[in-house]
Amino acid sequence: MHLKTLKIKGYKAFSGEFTVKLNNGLNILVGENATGKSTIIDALRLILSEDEYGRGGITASDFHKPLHLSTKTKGAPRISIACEFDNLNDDEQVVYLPWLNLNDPKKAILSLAIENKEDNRGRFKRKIWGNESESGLFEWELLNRINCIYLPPLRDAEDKLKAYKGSRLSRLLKNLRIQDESDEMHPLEKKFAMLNKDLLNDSSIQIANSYIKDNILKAVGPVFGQDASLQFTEINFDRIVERIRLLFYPVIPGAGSTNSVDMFRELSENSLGFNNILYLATILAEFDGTETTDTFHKILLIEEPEAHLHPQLQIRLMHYLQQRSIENKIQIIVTTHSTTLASSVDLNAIKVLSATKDSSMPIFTAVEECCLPSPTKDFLERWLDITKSTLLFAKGVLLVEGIAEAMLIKQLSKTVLRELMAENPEKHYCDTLDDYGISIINLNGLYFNHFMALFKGYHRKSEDVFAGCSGIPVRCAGLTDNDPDKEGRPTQSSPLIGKNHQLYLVQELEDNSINCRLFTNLKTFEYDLALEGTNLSLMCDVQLKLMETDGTIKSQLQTYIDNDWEAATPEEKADAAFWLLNRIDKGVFAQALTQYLVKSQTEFQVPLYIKKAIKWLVD
Amino acid sequence: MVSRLMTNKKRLKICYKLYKLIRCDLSSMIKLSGEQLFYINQAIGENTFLQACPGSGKTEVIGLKASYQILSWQHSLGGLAILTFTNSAAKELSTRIRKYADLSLGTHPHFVGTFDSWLHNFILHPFCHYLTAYKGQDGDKSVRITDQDSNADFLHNYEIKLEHNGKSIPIAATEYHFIKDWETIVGDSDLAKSLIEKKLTEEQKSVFIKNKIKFFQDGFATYADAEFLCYKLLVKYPFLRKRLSQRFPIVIIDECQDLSDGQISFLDLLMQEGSKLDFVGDIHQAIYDFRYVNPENLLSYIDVKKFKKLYLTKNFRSNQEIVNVTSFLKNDGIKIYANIEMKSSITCVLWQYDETTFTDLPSKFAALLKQYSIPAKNCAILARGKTTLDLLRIQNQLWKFSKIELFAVSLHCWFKLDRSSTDLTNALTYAGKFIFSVAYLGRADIRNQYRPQSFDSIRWRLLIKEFLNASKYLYTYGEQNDGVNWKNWSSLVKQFLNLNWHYFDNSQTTFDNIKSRIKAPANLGDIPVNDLFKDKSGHNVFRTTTIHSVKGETLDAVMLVSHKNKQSRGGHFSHWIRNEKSEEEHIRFAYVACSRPKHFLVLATPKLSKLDLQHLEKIGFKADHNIFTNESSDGGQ
Repeated sequence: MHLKTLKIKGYKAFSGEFTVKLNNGLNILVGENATGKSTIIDALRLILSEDEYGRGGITASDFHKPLHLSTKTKGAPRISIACEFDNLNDDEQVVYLPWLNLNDPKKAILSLAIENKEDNRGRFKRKIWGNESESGLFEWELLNRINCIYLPPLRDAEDKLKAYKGSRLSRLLKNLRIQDESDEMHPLEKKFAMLNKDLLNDSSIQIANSYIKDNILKAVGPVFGQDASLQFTEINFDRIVERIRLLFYPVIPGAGSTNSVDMFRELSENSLGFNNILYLATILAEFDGTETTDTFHKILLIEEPEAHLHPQLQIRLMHYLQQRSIENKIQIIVTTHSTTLASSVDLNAIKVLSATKDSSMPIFTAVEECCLPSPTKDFLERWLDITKSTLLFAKGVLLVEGIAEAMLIKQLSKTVLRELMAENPEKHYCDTLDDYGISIINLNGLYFNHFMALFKGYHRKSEDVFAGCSGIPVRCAGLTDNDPDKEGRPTQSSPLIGKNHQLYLVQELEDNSINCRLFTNLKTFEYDLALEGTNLSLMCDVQLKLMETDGTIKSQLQTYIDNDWEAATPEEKADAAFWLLNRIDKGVFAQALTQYLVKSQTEFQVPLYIKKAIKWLVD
Repeated sequence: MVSRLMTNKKRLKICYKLYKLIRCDLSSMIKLSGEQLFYINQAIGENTFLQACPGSGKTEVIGLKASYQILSWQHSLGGLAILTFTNSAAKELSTRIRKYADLSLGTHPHFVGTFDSWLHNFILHPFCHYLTAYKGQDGDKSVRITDQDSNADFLHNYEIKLEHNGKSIPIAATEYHFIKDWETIVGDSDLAKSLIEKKLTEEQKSVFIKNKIKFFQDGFATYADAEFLCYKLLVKYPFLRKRLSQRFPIVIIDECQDLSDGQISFLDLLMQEGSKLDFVGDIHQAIYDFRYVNPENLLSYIDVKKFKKLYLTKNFRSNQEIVNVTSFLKNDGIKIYANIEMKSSITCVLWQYDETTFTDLPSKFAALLKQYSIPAKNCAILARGKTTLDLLRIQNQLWKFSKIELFAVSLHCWFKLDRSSTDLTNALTYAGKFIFSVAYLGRADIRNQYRPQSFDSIRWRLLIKEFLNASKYLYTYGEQNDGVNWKNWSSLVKQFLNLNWHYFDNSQTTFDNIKSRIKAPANLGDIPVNDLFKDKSGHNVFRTTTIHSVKGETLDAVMLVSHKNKQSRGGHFSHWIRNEKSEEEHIRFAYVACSRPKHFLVLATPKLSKLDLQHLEKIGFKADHNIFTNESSDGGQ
């Protein structure tokens, strides 16, 4: 069995019913801040009665309050949380019988409700039930057989691994003890009993003991007197294991050897990151240790496991978790802001939470449900690196073909936004794309179809037949070059037919997608830049400064710089642009142009297709 | 009878084996009879029926057997279902099992409880809406169980009108139910019963069905419907049947004689999926005819399905003379052995009363017991019918009170000087019923002092308390009785309600609406209120009750009182003697009554004819003709 859907209503940010779809194995919840990732984890902990960190206490502020109301208003009348489990096998169907959906016995339902009514001890009335009827008996044993462990963010691993009652280590050791179930003294207890005996033979202990006895006798006399004996206190198993703590040594011993005991260091000497890994290892060991026939499902909730870990370790850890989730049938649910984590797992594990503009409920999208064709999924998994995976955390995405666009567009967008502001003074525009939370992603090629599959919200069923499906609900625009014949010199009045194989998307997206658009130009990015206004002078100036050798090119550039482009015909511009395009190194040129634009604050004309793309993203 | 032949050596071996596992003294284990040990030790591999005679230590034996099964339980998924029919019996069983099997908290995965709670919790509540398509309220699709005799307002929505003798008679959906399929309709109220017995036309039948379906679709059901719905669920969903059978591979039924036909059909479905049934009970004690319990059907089921039959024939409760009387009544040829001493040479006596001596019965009974130093506390006077009982007992019955009487009694219970906890409970219940019936509508929670839906139980009880305290000045008929009569008192109550209506938070009606309903009980206007509490039957210190209510109990002595005339249904001694006209059910009632006492059984009848006297003497009663004259013998010499 595994947890398939979680429905939350009236809890924290979730006013109406919010549905989270989870799959078997690993699940990664990504999204910007305040989209409810932790609330989802908290809701799971509430319904599964996981209370190691005292989540059991619900407070008045946990009941949903609409943002437009004051904080003093009473929240939603009740919090409802429901889980649906799927794929119950025969044994699980027997055990979870009262929770079963009769129409599909592989499914079981568990529900929790908390009424927004405090009793005089400040507690909220809660009720938990299987299936859809609140009445009747609830077998807590069934819930207890779902083993849920939670790891909070920025946890103080050192603290948790210390020796104390109820520490992780003592839990692990006690759980292991339960399984051998013999009444006999544990070998540990025997050893400690022996030790106690030896201790009493030690002369200094004996002397101390007799002093104490003497003093008792003198102080209270023989009638009230008590006998006393010095002992090592931990003589039963539970007490012994509560005193055990974890130490570390930073080097794994070579084959066949072990690190000597006195080499191990206190955890306080270890790095935070490594302590986190040690802690996680203990938790996973606990899952192994508590594995009994009584456990039907294991759920591990981890918030921000990236804390204190450098990227390589994050990736190793994520791969390990993914592997464990498969081997040991643990359902792992992770929240993260780490693009490293997001880019290193199976895409189907990724669930995106997106905020909505009107601050109502966030939107949940499972990448699994975006109907990615398998070549696309394979492609994205290979190509989603750390930079590209920021698209999972963005409020808007602008996809570009190459490094030149990636560098320049950030700067050009400022101009566009300024112009938009001037055109529509009644609307408010931000200064930069960053302010909008829009990421510019360099695809290094023509891969719009693959990347946009995450956002476009439809899929092709057959030739010319499209059907709706999930898509990450943020706007996504692409800028692509028309790429006509290499020798072509198109102008607005005489464009050429492009050879870019992604161009079919322009119309298809417009017809089918709410969130995705692809924008294109006459020829190429630089060519189209050069055609606008008097850009040619400026661009030639930039190129001139890059030239190291004198010659005809340099003089031609100087001619173009001085030319009056405002008076020039489009054809003249086209010829000049064509000439320039063949003489620049795109990367170097873009870099120089960007720098120039940043420094000089010179006005620069932005081609219409870029303007349109930015307008589409911010409007 | 195999068990009887067990050698002593084998007995000790079993005792020791059980003792090693079960939390029970070896000494009490050794006291178990061969029959008992055999049953406890027997693995549940086949369907079994244990016919246990009265006082055979049945509950103890089930407790030990269930504990033995629990402690050696190997299945990882399911558990035992150990079911009985009353809450008190279920509690008793559960206490024993938890003690013997050393279960500190719950019994999971095993279930110990009443048949109804098992059925409701594992089938009805989780799954009923799949069958009835009830849409639910706020996401809650729980079925709402409605009492068969409820007369709540909402039931008018589920009423059908039946033409009968030119009159249109309303029948509510709660007044009838179906068995197994929609073919058999059974009436639950007298009216419905009589109409249904007159045979319904197909058309009428379909009206009955439609009305019931509507009732179900809106999320309601009666207890009788619950059985029907659960059976239907198992029939419709084969996998549910299979899983339930895996969940409960063994079902032990205590008091199996109380199984209704519907319940047997339900269990049969589980048995077909592989569950093993273990029935324990005394077929001769089946006295639930009104619940469609027919021991004949159970017996034939046991025969057809070839249950293994075992017997407990040692009666540890009653002396041999009493055992002989009960053996005569059951007449099945199986000899029962008593295990306790006789307190006197005569322990089954027959007293004949007449009009004048009838009320002396309790005091005569008391005198007899005093002679043998038997305290009255654990003795009872039993009769079949209410008419006989009412003449003998002091306390009135709750359901017979009118509104104003309820209020009067609750005040009396609340303010009397030596208020017991029973008085407290009664005061709250009666007052709750009174307040609910005057000021609230809809459905009341009978188990919580008739709490209306809009209250939680604590707030409701506090309201009752405050209301009772406020009405203290109305309680003038107590210890210093002022002789106020019903007519005057009810006008006082009216005034009081008018002034204090504000006590009733969120009341759904007004005083003006209900004031006409506050009136003196019919024909009692001039009678003092205080008469309600007057001892009308002389000095009866005994628990005076129906045979039903002492089912399963052990008493020191019993006086069984026959109705004075033959017209009483099953209450006259002649109905208790087996002949060609007798009904088995009536004899079973007498059997239950006679098998309760340890030491003395008194049968009180009207004056007997010679023939009747001979009959009763043949059964084993010794007549004491002088009991009501002064030189009465003690019945024991």
